[in-house]
Amino acid sequence: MIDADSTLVDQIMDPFITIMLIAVMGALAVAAYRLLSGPGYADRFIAVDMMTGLVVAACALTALATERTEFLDVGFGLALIAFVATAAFAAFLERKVAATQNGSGAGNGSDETAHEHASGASS
Amino acid sequence: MIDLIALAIMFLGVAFLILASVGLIRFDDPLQRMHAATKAGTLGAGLVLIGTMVSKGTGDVTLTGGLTLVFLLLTVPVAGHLLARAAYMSGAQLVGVGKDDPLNGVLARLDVPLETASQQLAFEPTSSQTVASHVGAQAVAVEHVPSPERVRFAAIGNTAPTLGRRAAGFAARTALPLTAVVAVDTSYADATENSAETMRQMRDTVSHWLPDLRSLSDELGVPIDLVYEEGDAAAAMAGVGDVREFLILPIDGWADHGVGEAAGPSATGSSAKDPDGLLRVCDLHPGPVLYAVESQQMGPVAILFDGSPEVWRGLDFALREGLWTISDLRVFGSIDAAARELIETKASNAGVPVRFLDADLPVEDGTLFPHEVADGVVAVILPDLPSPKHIRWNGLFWQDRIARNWQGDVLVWT
Repeated sequence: MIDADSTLVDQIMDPFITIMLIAVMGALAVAAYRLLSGPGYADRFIAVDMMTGLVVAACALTALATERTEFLDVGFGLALIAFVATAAFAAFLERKVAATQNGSGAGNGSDETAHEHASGASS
Repeated sequence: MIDLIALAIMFLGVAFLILASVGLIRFDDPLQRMHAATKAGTLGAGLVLIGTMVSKGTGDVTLTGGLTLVFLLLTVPVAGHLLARAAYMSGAQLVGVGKDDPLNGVLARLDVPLETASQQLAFEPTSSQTVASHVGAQAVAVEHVPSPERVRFAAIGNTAPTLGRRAAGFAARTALPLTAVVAVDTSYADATENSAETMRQMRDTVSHWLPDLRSLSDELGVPIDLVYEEGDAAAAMAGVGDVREFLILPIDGWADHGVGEAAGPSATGSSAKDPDGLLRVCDLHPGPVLYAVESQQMGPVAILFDGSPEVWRGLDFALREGLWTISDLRVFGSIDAAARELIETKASNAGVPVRFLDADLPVEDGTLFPHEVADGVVAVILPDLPSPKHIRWNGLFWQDRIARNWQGDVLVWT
């Protein structure tokens, strides 16, 4: 693939890939804004989820731009870890919800009514 | 040529990624944002990967890229599902989920977003000033709560005539037009083995007391608009969703009119759930809803005060319409000076003595009110019904979850 024809096309492609990388970085910045501003926990983690997708795309583009295919492996690893992270976050959030519901319910009893009372007394 | 195709695919992918990030910013709630982030985001990332694979064309790149792509496609739906479930449960503000939330009672959901809930717990002692201004703002909003213009009454089972008398009495006193809804739940009949026979039984039961309802109209001189509907009983009871309609429901029973109970639980088959939708009708109806016992009593009325607009609306409505002859009003819940003053003003305008009960009184597990508050009370005003909204849950009648061994009127305006 290092023949004259291909390098010519590569030269044309390079600026395009740079443009696309910049665009992906812009999208990353936008997602980062959502990550920072929230407002909810869920919003923040949706942003994280989205950002890993963007970074995977950025990795693919970088692999093209630098001719180093290792970047694709980086993207693959990232995609693996992102799934585990999201699943862990969802579990964390549900546990936190359960903790809030039981918060003032003093142990056993019904989660639901305990929560009703908690929201009634705390606002 | 191959490179151009690759470039085009990658450009398409990047365009999707940008669109996804725009959606992430501009959509209103977590589920909508997730819709943008997961669908368009995965498509965008996938297209960029495909573009890379096409452009390079070598074995190792195709393998890694393909694996990444497959993995993305496999995991993103699962992760999205988990995230959406967590977002729903954490009480995140969801546009459009409110009055008819199909997951209500299926999946536990916090009433206030988790962030707010934990903040309230953390900063409770220092926030009295902000709460005061908050309450003031709510009070202004409460002023505009519309007066009812119609009364709607759901006739259910054999209690229909006695409760109908009470509804008609209220309508006569306030000179409001009264509609009596007789709903027959066809989905319950469909769930039974012999649905035609069940339908016949339900119609039969209804026809027993329907004449009583008619004669009530003549006796009290109140014109009653009778509506008979077969189908979605909850929707029929809730009506067209008019805020200016006051809905009166019994505290027990369902639009199977006692047929399900008489037949026993086995008759519904193992898959069909017990007929139980009464408590969810209040979610379908935007106006005030009274779960009424058969006889109107006078006595103390308790209010579970949490500062929410729902409870203010309920209080205003009860005092203004003279729903009960209140001997004293018991306010239970943590309350600040501004709200306390406002309630005192409202109560004295209505000529009702008011008593504030210590919010730290011990409450029995799984109930809303302590014994001291609930003792002798004929009616309660709640911000919302105790959830899950099942008539019987954990072997307890739903009013036992308000206070043990208590029965009476419950007013909610959700």
